Parts: sequence; structure tokens; C-alpha cells
Amino acid sequence: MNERLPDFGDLIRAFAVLRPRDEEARRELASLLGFDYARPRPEVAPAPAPLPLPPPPPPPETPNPQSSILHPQSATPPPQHNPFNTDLRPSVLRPLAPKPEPVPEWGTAAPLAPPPATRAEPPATEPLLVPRWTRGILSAALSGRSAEGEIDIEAVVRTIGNARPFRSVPRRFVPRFGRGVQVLVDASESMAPFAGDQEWLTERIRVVAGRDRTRVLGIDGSETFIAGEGSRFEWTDYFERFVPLPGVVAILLTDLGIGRMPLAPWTTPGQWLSFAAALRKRGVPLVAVVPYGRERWPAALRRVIPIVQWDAGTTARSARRALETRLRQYGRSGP
Amino acid sequence: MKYTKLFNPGKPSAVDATLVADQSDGHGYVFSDRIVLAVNTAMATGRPLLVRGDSGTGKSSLAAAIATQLRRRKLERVISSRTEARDLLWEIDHLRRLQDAHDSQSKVGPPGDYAVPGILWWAFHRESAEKQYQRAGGTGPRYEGVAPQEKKKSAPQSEAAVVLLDEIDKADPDLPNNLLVPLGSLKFLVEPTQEWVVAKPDAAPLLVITSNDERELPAAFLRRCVELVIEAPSNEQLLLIAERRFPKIKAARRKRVLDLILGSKPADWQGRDRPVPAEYLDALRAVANLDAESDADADELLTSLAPLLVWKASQNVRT
Repeated sequence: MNERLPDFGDLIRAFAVLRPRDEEARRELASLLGFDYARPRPEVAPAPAPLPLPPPPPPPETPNPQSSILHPQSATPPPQHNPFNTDLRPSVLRPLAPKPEPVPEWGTAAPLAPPPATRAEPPATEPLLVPRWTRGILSAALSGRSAEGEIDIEAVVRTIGNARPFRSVPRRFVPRFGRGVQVLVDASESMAPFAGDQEWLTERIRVVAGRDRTRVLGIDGSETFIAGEGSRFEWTDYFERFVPLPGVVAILLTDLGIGRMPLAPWTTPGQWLSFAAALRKRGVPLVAVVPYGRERWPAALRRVIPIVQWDAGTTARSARRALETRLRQYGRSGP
Repeated sequence: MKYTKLFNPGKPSAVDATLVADQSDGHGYVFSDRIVLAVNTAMATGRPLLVRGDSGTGKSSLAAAIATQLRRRKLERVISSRTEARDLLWEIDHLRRLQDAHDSQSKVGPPGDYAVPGILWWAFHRESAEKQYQRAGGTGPRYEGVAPQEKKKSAPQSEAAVVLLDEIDKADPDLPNNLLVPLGSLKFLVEPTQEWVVAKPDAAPLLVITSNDERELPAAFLRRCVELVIEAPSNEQLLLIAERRFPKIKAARRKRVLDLILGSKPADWQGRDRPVPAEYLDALRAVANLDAESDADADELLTSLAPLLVWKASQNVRT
């Protein structure tokens, strides 16, 4: 489930009305409203008396001419630095008596614990989209188009004005989510650095669109478009086996070949164009999610394929703009 | 758990569930302490009760059981992928309007004449919904909340309703967000008539919303709900439910059926380790209706039926 922000007002209202009188009721009631109820801490025993401190060191002695008179060891005055000493004769160096170095605080700490037998998991990587916004972004980007909205008054007037019969009730196209989503995970080498991000986003799509309405396929378009769900050796022609029903949205997690290595096999913009055109012909809207900035997107694809930038700066609004590209692309005829 | 209970269900009456698979009359429901607390919390806060859990654990029948206990009318609508938030408030009967426009005998009225009240309108304010229903020509569903057979015997006493919005996770992701205001403030504006529908303070409905967790619900919606997860019941709870639903079947037979179901689970079955109540009750119903008179007959029958009734998700069920 989604991250939930509990409401203190509800909690106060529930406690005021129901007046829970035992620990279990309080805990259960709080958890129903989304709170983690912490048990009250037991009475804290009074802290033990502090250990006696060592006596404070004596204050530094101030030079007192009288005291030097009283203490014979201090009868000889300490050598004073004479800035005008011009005696440059070499003096005899005597080694100092070795003095024990004071042990620093960290040196008295307990030795480090031995390393654990099992290796700890590396920290999770930061997703490319802001998790809190992902639901809105996906909702905007994945909606298909369906003629299930309000009555299209303009179409009605146009039909009546031309004295033509109604063959169906003309309705406005509205974004619809119900027909399902096909996730196409680009398996090219240049997407290897984003494999974890592809996995994360695929799971988010499943959660938002519904697991029963989401199909995930790996796809490789370096020669012909082959796709599949299992081992890559078993992938077959995408257009023969995997084209979804009209209205299902295909979402392509790809870099459009931007991050490819020289001489590596890749899918050219021309191939992606023909891929998008073939899907459009079959009534399947295509959206690409690309982990590179807009300035690097192939110019040939920008106006043809709705592209959502896969980045922390992406919002539902920018995803909706990508959808508008699709609406312009399909015009009034859907899908 | 000790607290002041607004909803305190009595001991459920036993019913005979031999013939009807899904009991929608609310009788025989076994309330756990947590369910009772959740209902009380929803009533105390005025928030919808969002019920999650596996299919067959009694999410939808909970609403009927609450309505029966509170003697309230029960309204129900199953959400689909095509349902929009506005459909739950009102709908415009476009076809009737178009028909009126083409019919020389009738006159096209203002848009308000074609606004058909939806389930939440009926739940918030029954009188105005009834008035609007008549104004709109008596078309569309009429959410009275009282079944015809109930009118004679145990008619609800309270004007307030228990509203079941079933399977909200099937809807488009925008639907829960579009319901925030009507569910949060218990009022909404009917745009065609420019009138507000406001729930009566003394008859505020209790909304029960179920989800199978197929889709994530938005955080803003969750914040406005009391969230109850119904866990799969223990063996003891299953036996108690069976006792309420099948009082005519002997206790030993009910226990035997449960043992047989649990014992017939395939080794490679990937899923739950016990049946949900609906599956167990189906097995009992099969035993009762398929004339398994002796224990030996019932054993043989259950061994064959368990893969059909309970362990269905397995690819390699033992038959």
C-alpha cells in the first residue's frame, strides 16, 4: 500500500468518543488510523549518584617573588627567553628521559567486533523518479483513450446540421486506465546500468495499473523486434506474438540508444519510428520512458513518440504533457 | 479490549446457508474484536471503513452484517473499471434527453430534469434523492436499501444507511481522489441543478469500501479512511463460522471436512496454508447438498472436491 499520512484529528476524535480503557484497545485503535502506537515507557529509576570526581588540579601558580624565596628548588629563576641572545655557540644536546605518552580516548575503547559471516546487502539505490510522485506520473502517462466521456455536443450539432443519422451516441474521448498496460523493458546493453531502475519502475507500474492488467516483456530491437517473458534465448518476434489488444498502453523503458557504446548493436531511431507506427496502426498507444535529458533525445522521435523523462524532476504535469503529444497524434479518433 | 462501544453486535443468529452461496442478508457473521473496534472507530470519526484482505474472507458481507446489526438500510454498488466518481453522485440520462429532443410531443427540460441520483445521493439524503428520482422520470437504479421481502418483517429502523462500495481497486486511479470531498465532508454539489446534497447530521451514512489490493490507493484517500485488514481466520474461527452458517451439520462432520481440506493440500501448492471462509463454506455446502450421508461418503467426496473448491491455484493439483 501507499505511504499513509495519519490524521491526528481522527485519533483525538476516536479517543474522545470511544474512550479506550486498556492498553490493547489504545494500540489497536491507533493502528486502525495509521499510527504506530508506542507503549508508554516504564518509570525510569532515579539515576545513581555520580562517581566522586578527582580533586581539581591546583590552580597554576602565579609568579610570586616571595614564594620562590620560600621554595629552594625554585630559587634559581627559570631561564627566560632572551630575544636578543646573540650567543651562537653550539650547545650540547642531551636526550630527554622517555615520558609515557597519554593514551587517547579512542585507544581505550573496546576492540572492533569481528566482521559478520554474511555480507551485508548494499544500500538500496535511489529511484530515478520521486516515489511520492510516481503514482501521479504513471497515472497520467499510462492512461489510454476511450470514447466513454460526456456526450460530444459539437459532434451532435455537426451531425444534425448535416442532416445525417446517428449511428452511435457521440461521446468525448477520456483517458482510461482499464484496458491494461504492456511494459516493454529494453534489454539492450546500454540499458544495463538502469536494470535496477527498470525493475523498480516495473513493480510500480504493476502496483498502480493492477497486476492482472500488466504484462511485462523484455524487448530487443537491435535487428528485428524480438520479445519474451523468460530466457532471452526463447524470445520470438514481437509483432507475431505479443502485440496487445487495441487500447492497451505500451510503455517502453528505454534509452533510445542514447547511451550505447560505439559499434555495439542498437536500435536506430528509424527502427523505433517504424515500431511506434506499427503499434499505432494496431490501436496501441506507445509511451517511452527515457533516463536521459530532453536535449539528448533523437530529434526524429520527439514529435512522434510521447517521451517521459525518467528523472527526479519529472512530475505528473510533465507526464501529462507527453500524453498531450499522444492526443494530438491520435486526434479525435482515438484510441 | 475495553472502550465505549457505539456498535456492539450481539451473538450472531444461526442461519441455514445450505442453498445460498454468498449470504447478503448479514446474518450469521462472526465479528472479531478487531472488526468491532474498526467499525466503532469509523463511526466515531465519521470516516469510511476501508476493508482489505484476501478474496473470500468476508469483506463485502461485513457491510450487510453491520447494517443488520444496526438495523440500517444497506446500499451497495460494485465498482468497475468504467465507474467514475461522478456516477456515485449522479448521472445524466443523455438518451432520455436526446429522445425528448426528437419527440415532438415532449419538451426538452433543463439539465436538472435528467440528473439521476447516484448511490451516495441516496445515502446522504434519501428524501431529496427520491424527489430528484421522480423529476428525472423514474429512470436509473433506485437505491432504497430495503429489499422487498424485508419491508414486511425486519425493516430497518434507522434512516441512516450503510453503504458498500465494493472493489474500489478496480476503478481508474482518479476515482478515489475524486471522492475525497464527498467522503470527507459528506456533501457534494449537483452541477445540473446547482443544489447541494448534504448528509443529515443525525443520519450520516457509514461507508464500507472494499479492496482486493490489485491497485494501490492514493495516500490522500487512505488518510481519510479507517483501514481494516481481515486476516485469514484460524481453524477455530473457521469452525465457529461454520457453526453459525450450517447449524444442521453435526459439529464432528464440520471438523472432519476442515481436516480433510487441510490434509488434501498438494505439497507443491504455492499460496495460502488454509482455506478462506468462503471456500470452507462451499465445501460444507457441497457435502450437505450432494447427499453425503455417511462420513465415508463425505470423505470420498471431499477428497475429490478439495482441488475444485479450495486448492484451485495449483497447476499440479492432486486429484
